[in-house]
Amino acid sequence: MPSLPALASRRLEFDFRDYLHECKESGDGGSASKDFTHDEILERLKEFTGVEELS
Amino acid sequence: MNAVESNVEHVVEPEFFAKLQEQANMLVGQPYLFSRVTYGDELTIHFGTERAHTHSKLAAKVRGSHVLSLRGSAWMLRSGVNPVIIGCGITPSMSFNPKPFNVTALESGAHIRPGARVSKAIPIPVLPMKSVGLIVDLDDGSAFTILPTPASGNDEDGLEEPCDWELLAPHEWLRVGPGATMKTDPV
Repeated sequence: MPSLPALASRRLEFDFRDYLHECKESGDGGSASKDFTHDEILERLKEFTGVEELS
Repeated sequence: MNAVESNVEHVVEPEFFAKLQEQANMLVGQPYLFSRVTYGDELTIHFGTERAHTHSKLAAKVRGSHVLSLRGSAWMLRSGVNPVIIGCGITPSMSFNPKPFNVTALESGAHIRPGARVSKAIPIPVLPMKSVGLIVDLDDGSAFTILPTPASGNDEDGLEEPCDWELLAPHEWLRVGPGATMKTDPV
């Protein structure tokens, strides 16, 4: 699996992985057998953090 | 399989192991809580005390105060309460036919005594990758073995290769690998 973008909080980074897993389990984007693309991950990161613009 | 050898001090410095052992000792005495799969089919093993997720989107989930995340590493659990071995990515060299490896069996919680505590957490050198695995013994006789696997090499986004395994504790974040490297950061 590719690295995920670094988050400000280490615990948030762990939580974000759980969030991505929840998204996949619920069929929210991507395919069942593939990981999200980097762009898809960034989209979910925006959802997760509520930040619109990621640097 | 001859991937694990104990006498590889020429590959991994003893001082490195001493330092890593000190970090791994954060797990000793912590009770096992549960295991679950997270994104990328990575296994996370939760120890310590249950904590609620702080994020609203994960309100239904709890996690342990100490989370061992295996990233892309192979793993195996030898149950101390049932005659089974389960895992992923490891083929044990045994004369009997082990149960099929699957995560569901581990997630069910049936193979570790509730409340079993970590009695030892021992970093181990792993050849030929010059990397570092981990053995976690529980006081019910169960034991996890974690062995790093070769890098995928398909990180098309140019991000750095993830670590082999990591431990998130209340005040510290330990990352081990890739290779014989470790990094600690405050949480």
